[in-house]
Amino acid sequence: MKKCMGCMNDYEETRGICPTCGYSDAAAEEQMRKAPDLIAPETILAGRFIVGRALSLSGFSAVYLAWDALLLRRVVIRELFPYELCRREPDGLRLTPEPGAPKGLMTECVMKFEREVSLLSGSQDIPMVLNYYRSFKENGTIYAVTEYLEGSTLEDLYGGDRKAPASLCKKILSTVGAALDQLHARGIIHANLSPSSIYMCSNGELALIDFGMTKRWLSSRMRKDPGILDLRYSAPEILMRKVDPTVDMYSAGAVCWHLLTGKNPPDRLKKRIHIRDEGMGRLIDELTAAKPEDRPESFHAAGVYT
Amino acid sequence: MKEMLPVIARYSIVGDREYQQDLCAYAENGGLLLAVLCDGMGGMEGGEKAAEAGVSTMLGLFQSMPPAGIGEAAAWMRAAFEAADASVASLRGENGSPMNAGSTAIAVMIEEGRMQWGCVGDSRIYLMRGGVLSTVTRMHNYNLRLDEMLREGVISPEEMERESVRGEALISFLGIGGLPLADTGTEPLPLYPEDVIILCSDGLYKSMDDQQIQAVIEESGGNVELMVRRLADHALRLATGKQDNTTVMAVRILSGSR
Repeated sequence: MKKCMGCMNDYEETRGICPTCGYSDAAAEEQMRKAPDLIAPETILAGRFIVGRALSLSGFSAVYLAWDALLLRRVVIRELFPYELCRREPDGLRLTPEPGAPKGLMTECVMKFEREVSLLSGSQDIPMVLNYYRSFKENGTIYAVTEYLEGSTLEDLYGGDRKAPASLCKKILSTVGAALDQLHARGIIHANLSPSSIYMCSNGELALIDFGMTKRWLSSRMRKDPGILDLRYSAPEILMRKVDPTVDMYSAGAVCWHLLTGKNPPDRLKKRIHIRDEGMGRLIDELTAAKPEDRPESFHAAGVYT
Repeated sequence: MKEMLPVIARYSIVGDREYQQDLCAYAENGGLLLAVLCDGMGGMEGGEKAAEAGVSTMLGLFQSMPPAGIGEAAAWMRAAFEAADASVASLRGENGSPMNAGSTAIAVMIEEGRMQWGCVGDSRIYLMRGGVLSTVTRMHNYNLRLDEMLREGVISPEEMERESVRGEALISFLGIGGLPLADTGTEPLPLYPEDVIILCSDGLYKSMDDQQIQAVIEESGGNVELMVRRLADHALRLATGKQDNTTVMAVRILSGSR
């Protein structure tokens, strides 16, 4: 029996291709060809996790489906891999600091990420937040282990110019807003809210994923924009030394505006696109006020949920 | 001096059994915290009645005649186990005949950052500290006697192997009528912030090994409600055969200063 690195189900080795998801050795080779910097499927981390297919790659991290061989379950592993700060060794696993990068920045980044995961790990009691189980350091970097959720991001569902009804936006805003208020009360800011970091699970529930405190910190330390944050949804002050939780209000408003109009958020400031639902229009204007002090101090105060 | 506050949670599942014969409870009395878990056995509702009698006898004594302090907790526990044993042994069925039911009992008592523990039977207490999970209790089953006899040369290895099919049978339990074995700690144990104490019935450790239990505790972000629920849920999922009643209690020590 062979474990499929595409979906982690077991199948008869003689079959050659996974009957559940169609993944095969050819798919693994294609991944390595297209993105040679990724960890190869079947690599073992922490003597416990079997790395599977990559789910995403950005200027900040690589995310993989993985099998937890201790608790016999699927998990997701996020590998800290800031493209400007480090590079993959020929062994396909180890990350070493990029010679041109500022000294000590990668080490500091690992520390920040460890702290972010620790804070999130302490917030697993908040439903609607992805469960961050733990982190571990190995191979010159740090990995976060999170739960695996079946579903798609709002980007997958409403990317491009697809519009969402106002009712869905209200539901998203109220669920996400309630979770964010709880996180803000604990000193946690998402800082990376966008359609890609809001997950619609197969069971219809929403979840906040892909938190961005470390991403934001790193972006604010880089001299040029390394494409780590999706600035289209970010508050104007996002790259300042210190930000307050209202960056999340701004981004939530920008996400709603995009969902309602099917248009790119920066266009909002240029073109006068009319939001049919007046209540939503007003709310979005409040949330996306240019100055942090003009935004609602909580989603509850904004009337987004009761 | 830093105050150390325990937070406690409990969770039970029936598993693949027809009856729930595990029971657990906790109570406070004048600065003392007591947590008790009883895993009953005996056909039909006998096990349930035995576990109930065990828990209620011990809690009742704790409310009416608690120990003066944690220093007296070990003696108190031994006496409480004796009383619970008598209580279970005196259970009668509908027709008035003895129920022949029994129950394990484990207990933990905490006062101001010190802990005393007690055990009769094969339920288990773990302590997780500094990234290390240790088992505090030993199991009062036939294997314990067989090990002794083998070491003392009373039986041969072949005899040991033959006998060990019955190795998991309990040799001390509430309801036996005079406890041959009842363990407690010698001195109260000092507790430290972030210590986690787990009390569980054998349903948990028969389906999960120490490494797995440790991993689940570690990834729960210090949340005891999540810990107990996840431990029981993983046990059910990982069981290779039918899953027994599984009950888990978790006590976490928080540093009181904020």
